[in-house]
Amino acid sequence: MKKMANILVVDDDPDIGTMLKMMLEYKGYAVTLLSNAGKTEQQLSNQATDLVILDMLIAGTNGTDVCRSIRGNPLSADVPVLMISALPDARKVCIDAGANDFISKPFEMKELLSRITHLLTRAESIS
Amino acid sequence: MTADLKILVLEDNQNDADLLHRELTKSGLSFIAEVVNTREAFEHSLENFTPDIILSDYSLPGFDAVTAFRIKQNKLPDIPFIIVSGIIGEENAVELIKDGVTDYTPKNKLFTLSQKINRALKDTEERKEKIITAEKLKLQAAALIIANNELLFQNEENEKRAVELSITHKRLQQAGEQLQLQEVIKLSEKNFRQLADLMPQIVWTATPGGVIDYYNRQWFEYTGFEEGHSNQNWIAILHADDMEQWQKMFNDSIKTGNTYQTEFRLQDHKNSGIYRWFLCRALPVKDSEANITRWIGTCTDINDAKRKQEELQQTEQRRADFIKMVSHELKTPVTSIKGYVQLLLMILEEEQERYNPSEIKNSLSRINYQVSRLTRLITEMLDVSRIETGQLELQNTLFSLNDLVTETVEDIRHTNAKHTITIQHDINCTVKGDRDRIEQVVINFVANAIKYSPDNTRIEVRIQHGGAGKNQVAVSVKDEGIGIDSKEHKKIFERFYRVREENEQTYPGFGIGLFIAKEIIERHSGIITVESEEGKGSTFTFTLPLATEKNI
Repeated sequence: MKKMANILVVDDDPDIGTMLKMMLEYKGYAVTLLSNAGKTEQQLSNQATDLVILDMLIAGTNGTDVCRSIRGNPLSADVPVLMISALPDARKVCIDAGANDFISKPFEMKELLSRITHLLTRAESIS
Repeated sequence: MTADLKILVLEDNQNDADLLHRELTKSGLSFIAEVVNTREAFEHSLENFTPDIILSDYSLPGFDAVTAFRIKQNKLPDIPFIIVSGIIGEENAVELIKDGVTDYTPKNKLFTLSQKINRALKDTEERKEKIITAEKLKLQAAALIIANNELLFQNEENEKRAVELSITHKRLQQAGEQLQLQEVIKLSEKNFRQLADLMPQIVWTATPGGVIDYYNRQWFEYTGFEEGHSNQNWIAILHADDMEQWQKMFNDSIKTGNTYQTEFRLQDHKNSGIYRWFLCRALPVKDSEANITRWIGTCTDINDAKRKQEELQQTEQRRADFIKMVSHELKTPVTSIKGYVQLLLMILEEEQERYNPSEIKNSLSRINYQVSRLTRLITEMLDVSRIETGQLELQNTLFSLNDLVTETVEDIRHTNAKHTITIQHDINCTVKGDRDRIEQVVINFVANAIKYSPDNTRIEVRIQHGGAGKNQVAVSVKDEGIGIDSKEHKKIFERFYRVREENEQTYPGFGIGLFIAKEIIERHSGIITVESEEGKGSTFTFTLPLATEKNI
């Protein structure tokens, strides 16, 4: 079951989004990529999602607002959110917005994967 | 030497007269005597001989001592009168002495006569002296009284005069002080006004209650108000937005007597509708008892300084934003490259039998693209640095502008399948300049059009006549994207300017592309412009001088 977790990646940079999608799929996750944050809510209600990887700066919306709306929606309030950003000192802003974890760009793939595993395991144990 | 005593002898008997003479000589008396025996001779002698003493027989033929005494009393009242006679008797003698006769000597006792003469003379002398002394005393007393009166009068007069003088003095002093004070005030006021007029600031004074009673020249120059028109209230030219703050400050200061300092905008009468920023300071002038007697204030035009400060703050803010953005922009491709490289390594290392050639190819092409993106960012930064230090060098070759635009758009089409980019060639021309730099501008325009029209896909590029005349060519890139507010039109060509929307939404890039484009075009004697409306897309245009033109 663990390998089949659904991960939603929200990043407006197509290269990074694609890279994350390829990488996570390679590791056995089912990945949905959104380059437009506006569809996040819709996607979360359409499909059972185990984890959201959310970029902090997305054209059209601020990633922290997206995170807040995820937290504010009863359907998605418990979904773990991992936020990423290349901005300096962004960690606090993201955690304050409700993110479960934060990782800054550029990141080590191994570290990202280990955090994803950690977040999924914890969410599973709670539920 | 004392003069001899003059004795008048009234005696009809010569023997008696001789006897008397002998007796007086015998007594040692130094005298001259005149002997008369008639009334006429007696009277004559009184006037001419002027005796010191008279010796008279009591009874004479046709004359007598009593009558003689009366005559003498009339003429020489102070002269002693002694009767020398043998027959009058003691009683008569006493009677005569009562009447005023000095003395009486019987003829048989003539030896006493000199004694009596001396006593009479002495008495007379004493009496005279007494009288003189009394007279003198009287005179002195009178003099003293007069003197005293005079003194009293003088004293009174002096007192009066002193009072008058002191009043006059006081008045003079007051007048003097008043005059001096007025002079001083006048002079001080004059000095103050001269000084105030010399100052570049607006200077004013106000009553303790805050009513303005003086403005210097600069005020009237700035406001266009006329001196003496009290109905021209300065509040009328105070910017409405600054009213509240000023009012609060003013009321506080009037209440507390504290110096106040505030900034506000005042309308410039020379440029109607234009408000300029002023720094207004007011100082209370206090008397010795710390009561406010006047307010002195200045208004300094700080508009230019404020603008500069704002600009500086904006530039500083943009620089800070720029550094933040540089960090972000550089990290993003690095993240991508790093991710793909690690993915490739993972694929190659872990599951060699599961190679997917298309995945590997795609990853490598992404790496290639991101490396180009990094290179461009680094180049842009270098360009800005060159422009800032005046070291941007340009080539000067002749080339076809149409070919350049076509090739550039073709390259962009390869990497951006989403947008439809059309090119309209109204003219066919060559220009002279740096081909790579002009290409950079075209890339910038088209890339911006793509970047800022995420929801609309149509982009039109057009080459046509433009600018001031036929010898100019204009290249415009039109999109239907988010557009730019007209207030921002100038700013977008400034360094580090970035389109910023609410919620900190930003678009990738350093915010230096248009700055560099403007520099490049202007270095080619062209101009760069924008037409845009928020929400309705933008058209960016650059012009260049035509080198040659072919008909199409």
